[in-house]
Formats: sequence, structure tokens, C-alpha cells
Amino acid sequence: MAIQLPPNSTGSILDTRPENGRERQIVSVGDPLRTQPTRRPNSGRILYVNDFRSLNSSMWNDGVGSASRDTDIWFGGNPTLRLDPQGQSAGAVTNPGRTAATSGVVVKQRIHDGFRQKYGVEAWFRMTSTNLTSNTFFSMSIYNRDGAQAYHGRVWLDPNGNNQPMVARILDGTASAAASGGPGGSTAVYTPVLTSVSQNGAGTHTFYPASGRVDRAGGWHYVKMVVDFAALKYVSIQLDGEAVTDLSAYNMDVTTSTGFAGMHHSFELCATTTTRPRWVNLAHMVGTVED
Amino acid sequence: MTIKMQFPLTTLPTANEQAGVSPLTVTASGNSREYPELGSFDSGIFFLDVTAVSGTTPSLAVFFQGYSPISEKWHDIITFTPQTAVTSTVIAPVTASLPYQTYRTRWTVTGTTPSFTFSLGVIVSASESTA
Repeated sequence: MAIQLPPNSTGSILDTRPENGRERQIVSVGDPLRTQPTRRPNSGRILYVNDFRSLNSSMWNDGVGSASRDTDIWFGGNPTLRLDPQGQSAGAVTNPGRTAATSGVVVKQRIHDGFRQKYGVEAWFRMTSTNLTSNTFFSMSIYNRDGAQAYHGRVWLDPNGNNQPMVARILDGTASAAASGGPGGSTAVYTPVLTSVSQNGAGTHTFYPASGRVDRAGGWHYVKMVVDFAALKYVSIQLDGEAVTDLSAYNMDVTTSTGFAGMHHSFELCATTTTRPRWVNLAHMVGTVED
Repeated sequence: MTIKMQFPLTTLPTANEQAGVSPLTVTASGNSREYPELGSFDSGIFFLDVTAVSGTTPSLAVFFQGYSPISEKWHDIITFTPQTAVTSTVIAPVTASLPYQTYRTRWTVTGTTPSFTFSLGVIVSASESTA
């Protein structure tokens, strides 16, 4: 007879097996358990978790507005991160662009990497307030720079109206380069790659206390995107409970950039008008290496 | 353990904090961006400093405000003594509790062609379990 106790939070396992007629204890230490909640329990080795349970995180907003810990809106027993452009407009943009609009929120985690591995980011998000189903652009990105160019993988999480199927549109590198005349132009082309099921805008389940809307549950979406920095191609995407979609046919977008040469895992929220509020909340962001 | 964090409080609503945003030069009344980041903290100690002044009979009044999310109105929490010249002796720091969720700085400038360069910063603190 052998007895195995479940792993603890660090992955340690207490095991026993018979030896010379007696049960001997065996302790083995494995990889940490996958953090919860997630919809892809076996995807990637965790680099970091931002679950916003602490007063601060390693994320930072280098756009206008704010990205702050929100103790009104919780997920999985933890506070969340509220993205708020604070009424600033990014002008007449029609999509999240080839590079992030810093006239909106650009909240990010940075990790250095030399274009050698596949990386993933997963998170839960909620369309919290009113005013998010038009004139607003919310996206998630994984990008890196080498001192001369930037290499972007970005998915535009488009609610596509209220109570409509949400559409995941990726920044299409080949199509954007063709439309822009190369890496120097600014015309971004987003290609729809995945559609979720209905009920994807906030619907009536919004949070905006000044108007009396205090739905703290909302409806949470899940997204995970993986990109390959060695091949400079997308790998896959998942949205909510839909099947993982293969994106290996798509190139990451290449733009001229002398900006900070480091890898960024980021979320962007911008708007074309100054209407308020426009709040999107993030929860349980996890960065992974997928090789 | 006690968590302490520091914030410059004069970032304009259109500014990017990746670039230096403090001290700030103002010639008219205005306000900073909003700071919901302070909402998780219990208290703060505030530091006002004026490093350049010009104009005729210039005066700068600085206020730190908390926000009501229900009425969407701002309430003064700290009112600093109006400043009319470069800080020659340290302005006494002001401590305040932080019961609101969102804050901002407001300033009013009066005089003839007034200009002030000033900073307002805070060290906020809260206790947090490390378990």
C-alpha cells in the first residue's frame, strides 16, 4: 500500500511506500501547482502572477489616466485592477493601433528577454462601466524591441456591441506592413481570429455608482495569447470557453522603434471621446513561458 | 508590515508619468489627474515646495481633494497656506487620513502674469499582512 497526500501550495508531495514491511515517508518537490483561476491548467510555466491582492503590483501605467487596485470589484477573492482613461481622448483612432496609444491607459509588466522563447499572457477581464461598447478600444499585448524595431503581438478584445459575440482581432503583421508600406507607417490591420458566444458586452450588469449601477459581479471574460519571439509569429489564442485557436499562420507586427528594448506584457484602454466613465477591470494576470 | 509609497501629486490629466512631471510650472488655476492609486492607503504625509515665482503680487493656493463617487464632486481635505514667494524655509508637512478612494490636487493662481513652479508630493502608508 502507498499513500500520497495532495501537493501543498509549493508543490511538495508527501508520499509513503512499504519498505522492509514498514511504510516509509518519501518527500518529493515538483513544480508549483498551477495558480487558480485559469481556463488552461496545463499551459506554460509561470513567470509571475499579478493577482492584485497586495497594495501594489509590479505593473505600471505609462499612458494617461490610471490603473489602480480596485477594492469595489473583486474576482476570485482578490481585489482587481481598474483601468480608467479618466476622460482623456486618443483622437479619431479606429482600432488599438500598431503601437499603443499613450493617450489612453497602457499598463504593463516588463521582463527582459532576447527573442528566444515563446511567451504567454492570460488574464480575466470585466467590462465594468457603461460606455465601453463603442468609441472604446481594449487590447492585450506581448511585445519586445531590439533597439531599432518593435515586434508586437496584440489582440483587440472587441465587445462588438452590447450583448453581441465578442471578437478577438489580432494585429496582423503581414497585412499591417502591406497597408503601411513597411515598418514605418501607422496603418494597423486587425484580423478577426476568434469569436466568443453572446452576452459579451457589459449588458445591464454595469458598475457606476453615480448612476445607481452597483453590479459588483458583472461578467468576467478569459483571454490567453501566446507568441513566439524566436520565430516572430503568433502561436495561439483562447477567449472565454472557446477552443484554443492556432495562430501560427500570422506574423507579429514589426514597426520602427528605438524605445526601451525589453519585453512588455500589457493591456491598453483608449477612447475616441471624452465620455466618462470607461472602466475595464483586470484580474489574475499570469505571464508564462511556453517552450 | 507597513507599506509606504511615494507619489508626486501634480501630474496633469494629459501627462505621462514616464516623463518627469514634477515640479510643475503653472500660470493659471487647474488640477492634477485623479489618483485612485492612493485609495488603498490609510494616511499620508504631504510636502509642498515652491521653487520659482514671478509676476506681480502672485499668489498660489494649493488644495488636496477627495472625490465622492456618488455626487461626483470634490471635497477639500487639505488647504495649504497661500504661497507668494519661493520657499525659503521648509513648509511644514501636513499629515492627513485618506478615507476616500480617489484624490487629486487643485491649485488656484492669482496676480498679474503670475507663474509658480511647485511640487506637492505624498508618502502614503498602510498596514498589510505578509501572510
